[in-house]
Amino acid sequence: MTSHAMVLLGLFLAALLFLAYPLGTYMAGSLDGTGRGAAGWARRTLRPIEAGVYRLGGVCPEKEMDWPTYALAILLFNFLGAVAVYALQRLQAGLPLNPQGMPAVSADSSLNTAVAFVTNTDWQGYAGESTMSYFTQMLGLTVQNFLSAATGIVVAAALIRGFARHGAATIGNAWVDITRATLYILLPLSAVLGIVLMDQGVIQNFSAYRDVQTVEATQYQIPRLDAAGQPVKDDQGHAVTETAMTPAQTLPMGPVASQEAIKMLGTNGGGYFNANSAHPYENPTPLANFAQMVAIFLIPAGLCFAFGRMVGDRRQGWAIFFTMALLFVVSVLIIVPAEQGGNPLLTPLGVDQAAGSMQAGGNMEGKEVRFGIADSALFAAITTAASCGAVNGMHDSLMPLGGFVTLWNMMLGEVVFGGVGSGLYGMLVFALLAVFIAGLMIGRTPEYLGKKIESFEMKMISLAILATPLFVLACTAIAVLTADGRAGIANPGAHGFSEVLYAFTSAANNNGSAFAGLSANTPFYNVLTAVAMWFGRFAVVVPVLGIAGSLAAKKRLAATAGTMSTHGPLFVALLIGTVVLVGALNYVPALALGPIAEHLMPAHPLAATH
Amino acid sequence: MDLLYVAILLALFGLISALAVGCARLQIRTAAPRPPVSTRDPAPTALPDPGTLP
Repeated sequence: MTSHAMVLLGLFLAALLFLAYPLGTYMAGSLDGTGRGAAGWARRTLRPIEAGVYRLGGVCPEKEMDWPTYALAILLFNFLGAVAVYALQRLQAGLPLNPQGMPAVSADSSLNTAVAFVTNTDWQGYAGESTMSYFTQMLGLTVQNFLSAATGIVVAAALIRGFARHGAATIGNAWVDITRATLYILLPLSAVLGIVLMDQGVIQNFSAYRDVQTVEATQYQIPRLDAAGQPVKDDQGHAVTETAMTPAQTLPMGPVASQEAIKMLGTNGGGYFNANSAHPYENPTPLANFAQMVAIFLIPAGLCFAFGRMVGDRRQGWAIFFTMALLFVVSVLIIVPAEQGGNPLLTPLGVDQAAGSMQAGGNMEGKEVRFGIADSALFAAITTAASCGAVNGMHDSLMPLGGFVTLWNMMLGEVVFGGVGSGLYGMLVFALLAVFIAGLMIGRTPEYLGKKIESFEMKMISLAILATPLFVLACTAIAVLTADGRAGIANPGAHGFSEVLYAFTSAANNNGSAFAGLSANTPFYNVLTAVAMWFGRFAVVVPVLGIAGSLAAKKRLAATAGTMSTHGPLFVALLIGTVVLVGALNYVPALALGPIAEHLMPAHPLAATH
Repeated sequence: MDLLYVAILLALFGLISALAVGCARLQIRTAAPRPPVSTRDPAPTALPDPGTLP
């Protein structure tokens, strides 16, 4: 790693810790409505709005829910959200704030986008600037950016209450929790970050798009498409391209900063523009890039500390934080050198890939010159460790080992900080599995935070852990076995397989980033990825709420000399081992067919050509 | 066309709701007290001798 990369990683971790710890305290107070300090001040200031929302919705905030009622409320809320986003896209041609006259989005793409945004995946088969009106971007996509993030936070809060309460029949009120998570956490943070991003140059307007003459005509290659909109391939399976030329450029406009802030803070990742955070209007400067990276991890890291506070033992929060941080740092230590090392196929051609004062060096294909290797590779590790999915460089152009790291981060179940809320509840499910395995090894009934882990919890844990791999692997298999699935692949061989595997790994783990190269805006991929996204999200949420309800009803056991400590280095190591082992057992065969096979090929240029 | 995709959305909602109901029922079944297991040997059942004249 270069000194720049090491300093950047150190600064990033320091800034994250500096901001996430107080945020955790604030979130713990806000979610339970009992906070003092900043949480108390926010509550006093925003209480009239909160009360107004309850009055409008006919919600009795004091009435709590048992876990099935809580789960059904969450499911219904998200289903209605999906219907609303679907309708907005289909009707946008007749709705206001559409200066470009965008037509209705196709039905299959509308379904895909609706599911993508309610599940916090934000997978995008479309290009935002040429598909969505301002109205759809704001009222459909940005609103869901807030609400899907709030859904993640409240499910995590419900699970924490399961640990904190004893002998309780309820785990909270879903409507109250969603309101508080949105009003006290997501909205204020987004307002602050939105202003910071505007200061850095992110645009925020309702202007029509602007056409400008470029200094010289631009020549570029575009894939040739057949009548069905699929890329045409030559005899060897390579995409056929044709040359296009333009003397002008259209500059898209729009309310970008407001969407950009929650896109990062809510680990949504759906870009306003097709190029996402590689677009200068979304991510104009290295400082904006740094702020965006910190924003992705901010709430997931803060929730670790909120967890410690809410269960009354802050050491538990630190243990979860260290587990996530260690897994993350290892992934950075692999991806940055892999990208900085450059492409071995270019070395024999005499290409200088060494870092120096005049160039970033390394594998710069698909990366922004503004950001270079370190800021792009670190961003890639962050966005895939968290289930964000925003990109500031094209993952399809990462070295095979870099592509492996991004896939691996997602395949761990998006628990390395992970999504807002979903990262914490995912890691807590792994913690329960870890104590179960430890219990088997030492012959004691497993318990975590004073709660016995019994038959029902283990069934729910199995369901939560296995649901996502099932959809990733089954959908990938369907795609590579069917003509419709293979038609979207742009590259032959191992890289083409990686494109499909990445798409379903990203969808079912609710990440949303794309490997690119795959033409996924087809009815086949739009429906199949929608199914993977939906079940990847809610087939985990339901068992997690089941665990929360079951644990809340149990009495808390006093710690004895025989109780396994769950806040020390030994438990952190056990938890890391559990997460890595489950990920490896599920995915190593698939990884061997994709990035691992590809990694072994470029070292031998002759092998790569066959 | 819209009907088809709204039906898919409904099916997704229906399936996940069914999962939630199934999990809730599983919890009730798991928590229900099981009938006590008898430690006594069951009474021997007299099998008819195949050679007995009916």
